[in-house]
Amino acid sequence: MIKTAAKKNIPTYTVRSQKGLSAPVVRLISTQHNEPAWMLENRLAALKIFYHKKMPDWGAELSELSFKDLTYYWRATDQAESRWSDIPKKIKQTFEQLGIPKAERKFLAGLSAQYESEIVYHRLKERFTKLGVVFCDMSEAPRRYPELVRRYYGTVVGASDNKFAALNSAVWSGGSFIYVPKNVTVALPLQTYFRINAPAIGQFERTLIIADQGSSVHYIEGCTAPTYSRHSLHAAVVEVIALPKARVRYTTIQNWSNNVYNLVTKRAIAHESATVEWVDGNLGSHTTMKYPSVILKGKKAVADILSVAMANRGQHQDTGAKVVHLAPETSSKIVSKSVSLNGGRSSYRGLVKIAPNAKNSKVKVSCDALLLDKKSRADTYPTIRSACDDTLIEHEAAARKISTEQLFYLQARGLTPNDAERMVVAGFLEIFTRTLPLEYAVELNRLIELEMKGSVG
Amino acid sequence: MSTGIKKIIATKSRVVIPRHAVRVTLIIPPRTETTLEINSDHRHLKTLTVIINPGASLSLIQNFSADVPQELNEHIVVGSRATLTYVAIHKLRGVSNFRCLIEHQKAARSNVRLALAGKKQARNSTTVVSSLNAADSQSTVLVLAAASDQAQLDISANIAIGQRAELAVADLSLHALLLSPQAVVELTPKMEIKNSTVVAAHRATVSRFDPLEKFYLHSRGLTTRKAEAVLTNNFFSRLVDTLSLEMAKKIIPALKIL
Repeated sequence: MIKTAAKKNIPTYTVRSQKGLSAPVVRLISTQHNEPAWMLENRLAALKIFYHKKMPDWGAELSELSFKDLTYYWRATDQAESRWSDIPKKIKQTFEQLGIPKAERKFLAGLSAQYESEIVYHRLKERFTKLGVVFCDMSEAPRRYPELVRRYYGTVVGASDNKFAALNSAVWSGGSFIYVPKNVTVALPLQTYFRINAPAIGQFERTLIIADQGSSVHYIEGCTAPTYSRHSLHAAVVEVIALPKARVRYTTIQNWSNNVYNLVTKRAIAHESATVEWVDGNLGSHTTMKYPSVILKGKKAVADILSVAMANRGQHQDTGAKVVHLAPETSSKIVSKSVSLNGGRSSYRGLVKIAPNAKNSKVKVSCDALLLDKKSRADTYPTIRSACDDTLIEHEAAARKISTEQLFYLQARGLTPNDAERMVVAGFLEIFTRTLPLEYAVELNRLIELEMKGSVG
Repeated sequence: MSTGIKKIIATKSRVVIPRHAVRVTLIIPPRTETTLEINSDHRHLKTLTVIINPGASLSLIQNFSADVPQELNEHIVVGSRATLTYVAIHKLRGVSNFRCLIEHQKAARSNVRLALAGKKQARNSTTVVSSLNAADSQSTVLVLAAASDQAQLDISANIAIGQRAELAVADLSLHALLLSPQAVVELTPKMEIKNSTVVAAHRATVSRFDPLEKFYLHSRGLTTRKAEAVLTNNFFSRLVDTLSLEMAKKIIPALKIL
């Protein structure tokens, strides 16, 4: 078993903070990153907010989450590596045992992989660097690009947004910083790879993407983790700023182990005629609360959100999307698909908000839920708030089981019940897989196969 | 005005509840077909509990087109193989809260249809919960809302399907029409499904008048006001789609007032 083998390879740490959250821990993280003073002040202010903020009283069950039992910072290697061959053998082995690297191997030239809290591999294709594209570890960004980071950091997701955003703002380390200059199109997707590899440790990466006027970028993050008995926390924050006429696509394939609390705040601001696309695939984890959102701030801005969730035994995938229309002629599309099996629970939670001056705006929301057995559960909790009389909002949702006709047909063509069910599920999620690069699509199908093993009979 | 609970057992095809009643419990005996009409004369009504016994049928027509109670809580239990047809028309002006919980037993059927017209400074919160936790039960909920002037309507509907609701069928539709730039509508169509054998769907829309339809009516000589009245009427006319002719006859005049 991949996950069992990976368990044996727990790496050694050069720096690791004590358990629990405190100001000294925050100072340690800041010192380790050699950050400017303003960022430390920012972190300490966020820590105060974290102490005062209440846990959300809605959504998934989080009562078992204990902040004092977590380690908030650790470092597996001393510095970022620039070539794959320089990466320690132990770390490479772990990647291989997880069975992921097919896509990553192929795209190594554009890969930035996060191992624990630090980037261990980072390289950007030379031609993009020549164009002025910045793709680096977020921990280095405040030092290397102080003006950009200071201008945009925390402008989309502030520390006071929610408890987990405050936590991230206080203890973040790692993540990606991307800046795409004016009118530059990044042809190949930029990719990073996050994973947790030690028990009861949180991962708090921070990603900041700035797409300047008329630019275009596709960012892919893939997540996976070995199984551990104690709860881990992944509380990331992603901020995307799409300046006028820019286009950003952010793809996530998440496959956390089933003891991870995945509580992520992802938000984008789309300026005039900008387009932001969130493509979000959620498999694994114990509890996921993730609602990628877009604030359509400029005229004719567009948001496109595709969210897919698969909830297996003991899992609650509380996912969805939020769109806020603030300007005229903005449009948004949300498509959500969920599969619940073996007693898993998937929930769609969405918000569509139309401001009074968002004239001629259009919204289309569609959620489909597939229930594979009697023990599983699917919920939808959408909220639509319109304060503009010149808009068109449509929402539709449906829940069903796999049609017996489909299963019968596939079995008549020689497929086993398990294969037939898997094929129907793969077809149901096809809208998501077709947006992915081929290697990722293949890997996703493999993950679905693993998730569905033994789900029939 | 009586403040005690008024218990009524329906024995006739048409049941009447006293004008000034505040809390009413209505029991529909097994295999009885009854119609209950509530109107603005019952504006003091705060709690209405209805138990529809097995095999019985209730047509409930609620016409608050003149005066709406500020606070109304309804709890309806639809017994085994019983049927509920529920049509409500609320003309909203001030602050009002309306909550309705419908519970279904085995093979129970309910068809809930609400028309809400918010005008002036109306501040309304409407919640409909349809709970299905028995086999073969069916529930349809349709809410049509129009907000004009500075009205603010907050409409939440929840279809909750439990583990025992084998082969249940549920459908929820919320449609809102925004008729002024200051009006606000919030729709929350929820579904909670714990059984894989069900067929459940919901949909919600928020829109204004279709400019092409309005243009057409203008071109036929109608004034803006008349054209808007025709379109609003057309929007609310969906309320009577699945009703019996007899029931539709009672509803249509009330809809025109909206």
